[in-house]
Amino acid sequence: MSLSLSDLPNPVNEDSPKWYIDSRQLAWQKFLESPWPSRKDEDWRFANLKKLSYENVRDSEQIVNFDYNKYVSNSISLNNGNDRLVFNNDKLLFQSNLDDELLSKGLIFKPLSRALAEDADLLKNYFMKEDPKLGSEKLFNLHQARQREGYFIYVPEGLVLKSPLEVFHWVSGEDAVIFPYTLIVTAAGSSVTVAEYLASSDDEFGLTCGVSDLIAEEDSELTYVRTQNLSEKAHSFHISNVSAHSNSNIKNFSLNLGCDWLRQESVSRLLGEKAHSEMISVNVPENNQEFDMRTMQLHEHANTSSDLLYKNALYDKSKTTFAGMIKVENEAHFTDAYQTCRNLLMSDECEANSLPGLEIKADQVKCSHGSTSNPVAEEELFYLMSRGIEEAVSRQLVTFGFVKDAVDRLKNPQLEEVVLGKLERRFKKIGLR
Amino acid sequence: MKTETKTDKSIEIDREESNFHFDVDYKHDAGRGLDEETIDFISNVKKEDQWIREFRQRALKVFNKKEMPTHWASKDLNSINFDEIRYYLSAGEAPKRSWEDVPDEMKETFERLGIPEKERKFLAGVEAQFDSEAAYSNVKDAVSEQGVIFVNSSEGLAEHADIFKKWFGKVIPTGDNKFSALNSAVFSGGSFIYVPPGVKVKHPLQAYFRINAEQFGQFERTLIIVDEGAELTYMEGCTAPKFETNTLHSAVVELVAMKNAKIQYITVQNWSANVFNLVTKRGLAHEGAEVRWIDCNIGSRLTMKYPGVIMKGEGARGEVISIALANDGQHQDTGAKMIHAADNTSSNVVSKSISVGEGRSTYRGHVHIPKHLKGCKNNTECDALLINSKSRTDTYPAVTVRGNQHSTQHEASVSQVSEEQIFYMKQRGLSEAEAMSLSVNGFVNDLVREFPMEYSVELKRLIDLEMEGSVG
Repeated sequence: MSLSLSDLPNPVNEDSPKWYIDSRQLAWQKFLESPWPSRKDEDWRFANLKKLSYENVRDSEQIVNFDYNKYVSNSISLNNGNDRLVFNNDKLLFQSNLDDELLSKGLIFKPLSRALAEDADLLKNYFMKEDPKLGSEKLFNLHQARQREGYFIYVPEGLVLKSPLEVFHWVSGEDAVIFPYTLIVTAAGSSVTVAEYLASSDDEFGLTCGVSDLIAEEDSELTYVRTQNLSEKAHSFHISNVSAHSNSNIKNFSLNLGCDWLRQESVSRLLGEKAHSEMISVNVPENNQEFDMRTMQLHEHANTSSDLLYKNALYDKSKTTFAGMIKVENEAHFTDAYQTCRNLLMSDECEANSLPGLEIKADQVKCSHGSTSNPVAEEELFYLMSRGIEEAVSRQLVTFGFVKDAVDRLKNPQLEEVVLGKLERRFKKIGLR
Repeated sequence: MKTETKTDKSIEIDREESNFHFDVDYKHDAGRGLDEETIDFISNVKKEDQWIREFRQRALKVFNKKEMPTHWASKDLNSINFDEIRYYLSAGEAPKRSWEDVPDEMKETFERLGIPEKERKFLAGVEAQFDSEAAYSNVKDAVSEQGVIFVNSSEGLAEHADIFKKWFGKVIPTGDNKFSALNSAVFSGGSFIYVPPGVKVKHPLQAYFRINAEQFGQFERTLIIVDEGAELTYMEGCTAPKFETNTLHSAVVELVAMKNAKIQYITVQNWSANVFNLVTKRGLAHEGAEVRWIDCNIGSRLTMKYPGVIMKGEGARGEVISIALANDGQHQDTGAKMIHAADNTSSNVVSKSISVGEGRSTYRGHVHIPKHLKGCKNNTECDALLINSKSRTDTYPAVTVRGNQHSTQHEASVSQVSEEQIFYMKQRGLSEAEAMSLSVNGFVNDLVREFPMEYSVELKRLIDLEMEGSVG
């Protein structure tokens, strides 16, 4: 049965905590009352608003035809798939058993539904505390009101996890709409790397509307890698909120390959002395894909730093919009903030929009941004071709090198291999041209 | 910053220098507020042709229909009370022909501006705009002998309609924005210039103007057409007396550079801190032509000005070089707009801003390279200097590139005068203010050199004035 977004049923468990049920209701009211983004919203400049029309979606709960084993067996990338959660259409399919030692130390890595039942008090402290800052109140509230699953990771004080935790989100069936929520908290002195893989199991249209809250407390380290390989008809909307407290280090990496249309909003709040946030994104759209990416580096405390690198290689009639903002608040002196967006133009019909912005209200800061849009440099091609490599191969080599440079920033060989593997398959599909 | 109070004073501009106000007997006054009758009044006084009357009336409708652009621009725009503004004032005198005929008050104004009379006379075609009408106009014989037409807007439309009508309102259509519509409805004054093919005007043409009546808006309209292979440099400088209530200045400047022509348009402005300066400036560059905007914005309560170049012909070039200085209570919202509409066109934007005290400077840029073009290039650089801890700066560029045969790059940086630099200079006996002045001048120096000699002197003087009276 086809529904519009405002007809979607509320999939809430009646046994959930009252604050949780209430917050959903409030969000639903806000969703119904708020307007869709319009031409006049600066945060939606250059956006294709025509894409924001969802009159025929389906409650993902109603779509049942999974081959559970197939998804689970396809959801292995590192360490034989230990330490992983597998979801399909917001429904848990598989959960590996956590190491007893880690559990005894207090590590939490579980589906949201279970965390709500077992760790409600801890969860409440961190749950959806960030308001949207880049113009998507409507979709943000929809997510909060209709979200049913996701995962909660809490790394207790001093615990340093060596190997990455992995989460797979599959989307199946025509017109399915899912609302995954991610909440990762690293307590003081802890460290974790989380990889989240989002993919379609078919080539149908589906809508993924997700939010990730990443919170690093004092002296902790958090690396979050999100790869998106949805079908070419799919739509994806995603907000990630980074809160970096003093001396913490957060890395937020995203790779986007699939989707007909996507919007990714990424906010980093630098909240304490010496907090550092890195925002990296690699995007390789082709055909008519449209990627709309908005970022904000929000410096609210003195002596903080942030570094952003977005790399886009555009093929065919694809279109990207990068709108980045560095905001330095009144008291945030000695801020060090960088923002770079590079577009590699691979066809005569692609379109790259760049809106790199700065809003600085404090002095004693170092802020800069750079944005470039260029084709593959003739000299680089010439160099390779003069060594006997044919032009199309040279072009792809240069392009691969261009995106690899951003992947290298992960500084985690295991994950780099996973991401580069996905990129290699991508370039193979795009072919030599 | 511990040196803040000192710096504040050291940076304070000596506005009294141009703080003059003479009583003037206004012969024509359209009263306050704006409606169809105001427009009729202006047209009647100016004895305008029917098509201009209709143009104005149409523009008024557009103005009333358009909303304030506050969804992206400063909310401060809402404090403009359009009913309180006088839309037309004129001394009603025919433009003067010789220096001797210029009213004494005007001469005194020039004196206060610090331009020696000899220099004034030397400079070709000094056009001093006195309120709405050009009160003085002296096109040097040599220039008019070359066939250059240099008149005010009314004269241009009345006597040279064959030349100017074709391009009037074409580079900046009435409906471009709310304030270009306002200007189209009530414009008066400004310069209309035509340079015939191949003529290279040696001396820069110049117009000084000032706002001289309380709550009186100045809506000058400038149209410059430089024909094939010709070259022109035009300079405008503005100083405004200080008033207690807001003053609106909303100009429209259209430039047309025909094939292989070159236009350089230079502005040095120092509005008083109650002026809303909302200006639309755009140039159209045909094949092989070059349009350069060189702009210095000091003062005003809010300046919104984004000079643009439409590169319509192959190989056309566009450039915007700008310096902005925002002090307490001031917002310099400036930028550039580069529209590439032909192959192998190139554009360059270099913008430097200085925010002092609680001043705010903003850069807004727009670069557009559409489909199916080849070899377009854009380079944008914007640097901001923050002097005090409450100074503010913003950068909002937008770059659109379609296709893979172009190259664009944009860079921006924000910094402050380094403690080491100041320390170094103080070590060598300079006062804090002198050191600061030297640093700030150093920051803009490479751009100041782009201004013609007279202007770079004036500009340096303006920046120095800010540093003067320092406590040291």
